[in-house]
Amino acid sequence: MNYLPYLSTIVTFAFTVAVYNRYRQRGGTHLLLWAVGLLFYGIGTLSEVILGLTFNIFVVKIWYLTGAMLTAAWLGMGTVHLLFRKGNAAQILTWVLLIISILAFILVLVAPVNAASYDVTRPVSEQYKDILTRNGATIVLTILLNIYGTLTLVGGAIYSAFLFWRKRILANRMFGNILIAAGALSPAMGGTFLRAGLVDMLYLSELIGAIVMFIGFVMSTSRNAEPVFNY
Amino acid sequence: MAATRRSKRFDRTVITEKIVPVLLVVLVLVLLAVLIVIGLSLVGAIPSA
Repeated sequence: MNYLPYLSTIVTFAFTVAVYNRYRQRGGTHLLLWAVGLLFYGIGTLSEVILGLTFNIFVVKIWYLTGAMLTAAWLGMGTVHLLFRKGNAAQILTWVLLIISILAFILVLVAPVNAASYDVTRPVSEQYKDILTRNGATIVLTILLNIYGTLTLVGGAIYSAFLFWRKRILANRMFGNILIAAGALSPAMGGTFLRAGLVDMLYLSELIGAIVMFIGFVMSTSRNAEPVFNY
Repeated sequence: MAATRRSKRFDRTVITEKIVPVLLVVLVLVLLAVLIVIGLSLVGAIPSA
């Protein structure tokens, strides 16, 4: 199963470039924040690739920071900017998330590491609890960031799909948002599998999530679409 | 704009009238399930990620 992070990394970085190019062409803070979230996603899967070849304390910390803590929250922040365009709520939340992300970086940076127990043949998702000593604040922050990210990213995509369905317009965007919601749920469910002890499922869920979200994004931004939500 | 949007309307089919609503409900239920699991981690009822 360890070849899966290679595929996830390729797909995710291609997805990141596609979203960033869209941002350069059309602007929109939501696209920039999605690109940031996807960059974290790709760095997380790239860390899994590296940790499948060799052990490095810094890479373990980067894996946890990007993959477990920041990806969902930054992707969700993009959706918040897309859906809440009036007022300053989205901007304020972005600054709050930036401060929390810096705090998360510091917490992970100073976390003690037990390198002796690492086995390069086993997935890092199976071993990280024995390697990385996380304090209560780190765990609570991880959970809160994931609740926020999953709720805003998946909830936002479901809500957008529902609006298109109710108005019976732009079928490509309706189906695109359904795919984005389903794709975003995949790694979130992978985290759930991780808690249940099914550690290999995380890598598979990351790959499925990246592919399905990418297809959803391409479908939503196809040229024949009316920019109702200006993706 | 209104005329353009009307032209973007899609026809009602079995997929859009039956399958899409079911998919949306299923996605909401899965989302709730994932959030409940994450929430249970927060209160310590199950191991945290």
